[in-house]
Amino acid sequence: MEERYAEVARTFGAALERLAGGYERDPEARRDLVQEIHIALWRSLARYDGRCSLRTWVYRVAHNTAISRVVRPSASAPTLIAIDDSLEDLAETVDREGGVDRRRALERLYALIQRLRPLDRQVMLLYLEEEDAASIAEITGLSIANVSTKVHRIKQLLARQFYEGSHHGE
Amino acid sequence: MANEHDPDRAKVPSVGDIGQMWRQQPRQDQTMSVEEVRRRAADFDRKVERWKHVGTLTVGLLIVKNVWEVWVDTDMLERAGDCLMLLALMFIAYRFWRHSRAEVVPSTLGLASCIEHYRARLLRQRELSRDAWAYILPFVPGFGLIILGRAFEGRPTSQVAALIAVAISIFAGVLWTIARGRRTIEREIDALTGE
Repeated sequence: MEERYAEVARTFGAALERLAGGYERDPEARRDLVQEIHIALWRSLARYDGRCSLRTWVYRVAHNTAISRVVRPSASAPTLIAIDDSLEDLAETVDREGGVDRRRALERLYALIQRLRPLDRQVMLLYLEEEDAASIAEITGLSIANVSTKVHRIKQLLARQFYEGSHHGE
Repeated sequence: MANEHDPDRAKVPSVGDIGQMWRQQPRQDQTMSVEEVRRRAADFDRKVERWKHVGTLTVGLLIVKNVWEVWVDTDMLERAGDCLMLLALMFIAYRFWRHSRAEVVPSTLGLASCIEHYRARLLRQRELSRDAWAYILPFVPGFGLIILGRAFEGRPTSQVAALIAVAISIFAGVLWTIARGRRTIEREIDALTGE
């Protein structure tokens, strides 16, 4: 199990961090969520019996852990300041020329994801990770047709959001 | 094609670019070693246990306080009220304990799809809020008897009336808040059913 966990952490580590960003705006809360997901994965892998792919299992555990945390009645709304904080961290790592647009685009993307309802958010996060409709359907429990419709809407939403956003933002 | 003539539009990333940008974000690298995960899992368990102990201790203290009140109160009505409050407290503690046992354990999280997990979670929350009266009602008889006892003790009517008003406001406020939360949960369940 230890080897399997190490493999999962190595393969999905970056995706799980991005996933956590879709649920938690505050950097501290995001770090806590990543750790919570890793702990849940560590515990859950003992029950993994190969009925679904490891990839499906990992995303299910991650999204279900995140949803359990987000839908808690005591969960408070994240603040806008926290987004700026996390973006400042990113700003240092991107080049000066293209950095601003990239930063703004990511900012818009996270803000958009965090506004989505849970299932739409999950579909969008999985779509951004390049999962196909069949995989997204298996992970979320939605039908392939429903996922395809949602993905189509997501593409439209992204195109509109970024086109309109770029004009408003100028 | 329009992008070639519109300088603003040219800066707009395509949907494919957005996906690439998303996956190429700089990462914080929060990967933990197996030892660290094991340690944090143990820390997490200890934290959960600690909260359980705090809850048990709080209920224990409230029970002790109520037992003490039953012991020292001289008025029979107030004593009966204290006894009923004590029983209500124990009943509520039992319900919370039973509910907490139904929580999903992390090892089963991968067995359920996202929609199944989310629906199950919402249904549990709705069940909890639907039974709100069962958390409030047990305290009403005891509280009523205590107020009656105080009224018969010869306390000013205004004091007794204020006590009744405060109690009703608290009960009504709690029930209203829970009902509001339940409506939100039901809307979410209805939306899930349509998926």
